[in-house]
Amino acid sequence: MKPTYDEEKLAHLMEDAGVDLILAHTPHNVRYLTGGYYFHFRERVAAIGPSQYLPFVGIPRDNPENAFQVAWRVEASPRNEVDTWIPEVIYTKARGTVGAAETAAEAIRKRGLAEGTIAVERAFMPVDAMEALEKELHGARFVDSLGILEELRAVKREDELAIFRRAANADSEAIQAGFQEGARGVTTRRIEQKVEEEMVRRGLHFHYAFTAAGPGMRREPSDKIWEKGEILHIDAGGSEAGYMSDICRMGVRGEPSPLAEELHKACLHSVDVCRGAIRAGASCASVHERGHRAFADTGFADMGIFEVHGIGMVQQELPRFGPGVERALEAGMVVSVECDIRHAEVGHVKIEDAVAVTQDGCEGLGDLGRDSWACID
Amino acid sequence: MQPPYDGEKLDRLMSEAGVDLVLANSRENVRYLCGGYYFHFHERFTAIGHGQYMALAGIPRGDAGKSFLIGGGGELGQAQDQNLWIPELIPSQRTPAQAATDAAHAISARGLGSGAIAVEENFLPSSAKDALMSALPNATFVEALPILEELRAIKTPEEIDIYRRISQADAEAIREAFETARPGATTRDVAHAVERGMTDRGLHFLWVFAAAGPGMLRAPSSKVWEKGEVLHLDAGGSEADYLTDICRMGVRGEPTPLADELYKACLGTQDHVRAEIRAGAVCGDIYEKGTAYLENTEHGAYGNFIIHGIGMVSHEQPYFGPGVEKTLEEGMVVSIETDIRHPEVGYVKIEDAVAVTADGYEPLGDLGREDWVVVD
Repeated sequence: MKPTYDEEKLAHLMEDAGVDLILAHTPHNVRYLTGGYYFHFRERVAAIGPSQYLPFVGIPRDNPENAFQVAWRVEASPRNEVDTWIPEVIYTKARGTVGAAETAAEAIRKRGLAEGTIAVERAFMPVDAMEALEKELHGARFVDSLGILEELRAVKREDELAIFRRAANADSEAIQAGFQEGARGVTTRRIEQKVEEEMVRRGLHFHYAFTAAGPGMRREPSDKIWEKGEILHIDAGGSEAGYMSDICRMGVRGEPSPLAEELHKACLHSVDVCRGAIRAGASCASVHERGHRAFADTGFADMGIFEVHGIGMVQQELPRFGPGVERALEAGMVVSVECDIRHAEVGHVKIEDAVAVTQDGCEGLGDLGRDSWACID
Repeated sequence: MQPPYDGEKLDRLMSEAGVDLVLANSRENVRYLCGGYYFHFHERFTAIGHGQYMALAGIPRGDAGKSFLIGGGGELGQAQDQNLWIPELIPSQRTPAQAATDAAHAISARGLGSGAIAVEENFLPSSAKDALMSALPNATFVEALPILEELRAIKTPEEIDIYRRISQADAEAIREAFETARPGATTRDVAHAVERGMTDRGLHFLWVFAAAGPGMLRAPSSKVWEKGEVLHLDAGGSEADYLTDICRMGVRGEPTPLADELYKACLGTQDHVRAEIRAGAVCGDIYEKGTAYLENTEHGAYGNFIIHGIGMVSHEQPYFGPGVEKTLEEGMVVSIETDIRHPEVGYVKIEDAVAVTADGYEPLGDLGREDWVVVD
């Protein structure tokens, strides 16, 4: 089997950073590097016994045939092995973080890299695992792998985009079902629960739903009933195979007031202008600037936020947008565009979309329900 | 406001360990110390931007009124709505190093900059520990795990109530998945039905093992659950981060006499162990009785017996094993599991949970444990 990621790109990134071996352990990077594998038992809960599940994937530069994976024996069925492209799967003797780190250290030593430069995920690596690595590999130099792995994941393959399409559609449909549930006069907590049920029914794993029934600004699901005449935004995220969707749509019980309608149009306009600027080759700064300028022109910018960010296995990953960011978009990047207005009389109006960058523009992901209000009795 | 946990017990445990302040960062412990509160946005994923969301709950010994929570700016409304008891919520950035730096300032402001700080070394990111050490050069750091695990060991009546609800929901979701599995359904289809069933009952789905025998593959897959095959569904979910973990058996068609024998051996072991459970019973004795019973069935060679505490962490206090002298206390929740992996039949397994009472135990979610779910 072959790696599913771009081998050449990883080799270049490692070379530029002077890194000899990548040692990843977070769910997103383990999944990405293994080509979609993560021990399903530990996907949503890591803590077990006096420690936690900690897998490792080690990839030497230019040398994926020497890659290794540290796993629990129980991950494989009693008669099988963990099945990924990675040539060597090493089962830990001890189940905790330290046992996993010691197993990884031994694998690194065997590969002659005990004095090499090893890139680890510092913002995630448990203290005791890091100490075990440093102790076992005292001649090694440890650096942060964030920049390398983030860049490696930045451009999505067609099979990843297919997941995004599915996940975003399922998310949008679940949100619409959440609005429908509101016809009964229910709490925002019940609406959150409905969104979760509908995501799960569509094969998404639920992550969160913000439910702001306005005019109040409270976004967390609560005992607040979505009353007649009130607007509601449902800003909800879920994941499939570790890829995240994050979408916000507007609903209203009854009809939106002219002012509410104006705010919705202002958000939509800003998002539309920004989407219109997105294409392969466009600089992140120009996309950011176009969106912000459009938002400023609506006259509501001092009441809200306009944001553009990459999305993938991590929320707010590459590409990053802002003034002066010269980087150009590439086909296959996935971008989230969000605009909200918090108006004292109306409430929290928000639209959040996701698009995939194409050669000559962008493809909307899960656009269902974005253009107008879900009007519920 | 008063802490929702046993404040006296925490102070005593901290005293015994010579700890001035507990600084918890695992979701389970933050949630426990916050009385069930956790920022809902980051309950099921943490990675964001250049780092991750990391909450830090700081509780000074003997002075819970000076507790603090490092969190995110977006959670102030939720904290207010849910009456978070912790007096100070400090919004921070979503990198562990920044969150830790903000925690260090809060610790210094409380005059504990040279104190003994208990942290969770198997959960705290190393970048956060580096930031703590650099901002608090005179502090000493010790492991928080034994303190917090002991603090959580005995469940309150409210926690037991959650257990009743979630175990029942889990058992019902498993039963429904068996009963709705049409001929030709794969173990992935059945697993998805369990996830839907849990969600519809207000549980958050965590995992399901689905082993259709005689194969031993437990991960949900494209394997079809065929006529004549046993299937075990070993599934976990959570409510407010309390975990349920239950395993039940189904069979398409009637179980063979051998399969039935294995089932009875598992159930017999479970029942035998349950009968030993009561406040005051010694964990080591219970473990040995279960192991001996299973060995004395004719299928001990293929069998495994495990017993462990369960709560916000699957496998927590009380721990069982040969020679463990600790005794059970009322309010502990215990998971008992027996399996037999037989080459001809497959993976037969029963897993139950019980709450320890003064004179015995209360079963949790027993639905479907006594017999096979037989489907056509």
